[in-house]
Amino acid sequence: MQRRTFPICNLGEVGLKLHLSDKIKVGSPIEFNMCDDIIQSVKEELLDIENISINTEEPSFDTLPVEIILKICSYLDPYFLRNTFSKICRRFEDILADEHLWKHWVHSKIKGCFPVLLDCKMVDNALNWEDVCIDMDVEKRKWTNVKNTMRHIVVKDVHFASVDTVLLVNNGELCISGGRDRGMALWNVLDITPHDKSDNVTTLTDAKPRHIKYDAHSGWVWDLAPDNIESATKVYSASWDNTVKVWDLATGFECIETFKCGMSALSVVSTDNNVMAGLYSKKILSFDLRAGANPVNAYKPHKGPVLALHTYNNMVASVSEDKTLAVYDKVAGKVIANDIKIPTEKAYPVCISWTPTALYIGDSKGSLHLMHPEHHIHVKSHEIWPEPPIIKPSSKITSCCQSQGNMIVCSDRGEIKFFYNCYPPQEYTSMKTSTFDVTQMRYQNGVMVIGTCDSALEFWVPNEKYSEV
Amino acid sequence: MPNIKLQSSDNEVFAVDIEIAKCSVTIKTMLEDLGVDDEEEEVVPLPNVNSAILKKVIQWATYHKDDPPLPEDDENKEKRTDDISSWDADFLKVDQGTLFELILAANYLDIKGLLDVTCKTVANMIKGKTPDEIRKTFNIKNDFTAAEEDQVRKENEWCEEK
Repeated sequence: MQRRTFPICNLGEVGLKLHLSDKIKVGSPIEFNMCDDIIQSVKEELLDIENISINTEEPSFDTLPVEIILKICSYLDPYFLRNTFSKICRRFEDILADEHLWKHWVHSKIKGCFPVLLDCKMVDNALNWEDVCIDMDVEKRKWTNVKNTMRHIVVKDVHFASVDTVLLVNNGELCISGGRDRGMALWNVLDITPHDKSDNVTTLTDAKPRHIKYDAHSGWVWDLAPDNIESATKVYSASWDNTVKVWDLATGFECIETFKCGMSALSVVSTDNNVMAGLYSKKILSFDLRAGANPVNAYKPHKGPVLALHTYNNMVASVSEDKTLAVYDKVAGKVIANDIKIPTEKAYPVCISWTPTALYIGDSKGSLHLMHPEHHIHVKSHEIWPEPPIIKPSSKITSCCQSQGNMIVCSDRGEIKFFYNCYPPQEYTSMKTSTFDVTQMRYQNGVMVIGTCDSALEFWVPNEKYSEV
Repeated sequence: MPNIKLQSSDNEVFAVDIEIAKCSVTIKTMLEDLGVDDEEEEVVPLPNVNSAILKKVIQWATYHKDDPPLPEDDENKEKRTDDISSWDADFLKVDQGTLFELILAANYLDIKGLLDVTCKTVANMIKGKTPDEIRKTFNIKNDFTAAEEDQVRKENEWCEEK
């Protein structure tokens, strides 16, 4: 009979075995019996081959060679591969379980190095390549096609002065804003629905926050932090009125405590009951909600005003007008590194983003400084917005957000850039805001919010969030 | 134009223009390595391709004989599946068995253009479908246990909520 597909490798094996048995035949009678066994097994194998060729008479999807399955997969996106393709049958699941496949995908997309630094202890164990792929792919698809994937909503006339700080908590469902009008507002993000859904950008002047406090502070509200970003029950607000206030989200946005700082509070971070405030007076104070209004601890790692704080595990990073970085260990209760120079030249540091893979500091002239996340030394400075000619204002990096695969950097000039989080950062798209002078940007679970000096808040909300309601 | 004779697994012989046959890298390499030039009587056996499929492959190669060479795969570029020409789309209106045999033949003969377009067609057939719909479409047996299936369902619920 005519066999259509004769697996060549099997033929080779069979041929080799026959050849061996030929030699054995020359040997003793005992070996001769063995030889019969071999012949028997060869016959069986030949039968198997026969069966295989019968099976492949009608080739089917699930029996295609692995290299063809992979070729077909190369036309599908990582999210679909993980959530649908690998659930079809065990063979497909096994094929896609290979980490190298996902690693290869990542490296085929980026020109530089991933992860950002190769000598981080925590990175190799913590890195799930499949997650990285999906994070990169999903975010890129979304932000390169904002018109079709997102609602862009501009909220005006709620704050009546610059919105200096914004915050997103609880999967991007709640937003808190604070401003130079000394007021604060609490928003249900999905309640801010555009009237006309066909519009690309909707400007609302009659949006209703869930709560608004016009006299939240007696000075500008400068920074906000949640007790827990995933399920916040309290929000802390730092103000130029020398206080950090505690707001209870459950009981109608009431102020339940006022921490006394004795100097303007420019930044605040928190983990549960512990609250840290960076002051204009170079000090960093630590408060505990259970211990009342006075600080439980204080340290002074800088020679100038503390401009930004960031918590990561039990560490607190701070940057100051003195152009240095300091790192404080909350468990040990001491500064473990300070006076780390940030090569900002004439600029000053503005914001910090710290993940297991990288510690970035954004400065006031458009540069992003990469520091080692474990030994905190300076590695490299990237010019995200090159310095313009002297007559034009430079771009201040007001916020930087990192995920496993992506990084978003926002400038005060109203441009937001999107990168793969590799070394060097690889930009894949950018977009412009509608209002001017961005003060702060936050991004959580697909929702983005910015505050601007134009007394506005701008939201980008994925379309599918509305259909879920 | 000199011809080359290709013999299918069921012993049918096809005379094909050498330039067309050379779109198969397998045949091209063989001709170069063996230095077959004017010995036209030589028959090239293709034991992995039957006559029906070989006929389709020759038809495809003949239509595409003047195509510019394909650019190197740039993995950085978004891989599209919506760029199949209408001729190819018509050409590939075949039953699943034939489609997969064409894929296997394109792979064996190393014809990149044909392999690309057939794999894209399969990708288009599964895009936007659920695992269950895909199994039905391609008659694939669900070999996961009920417990594993439950797990998948839970994971997907979570995804949808997100």
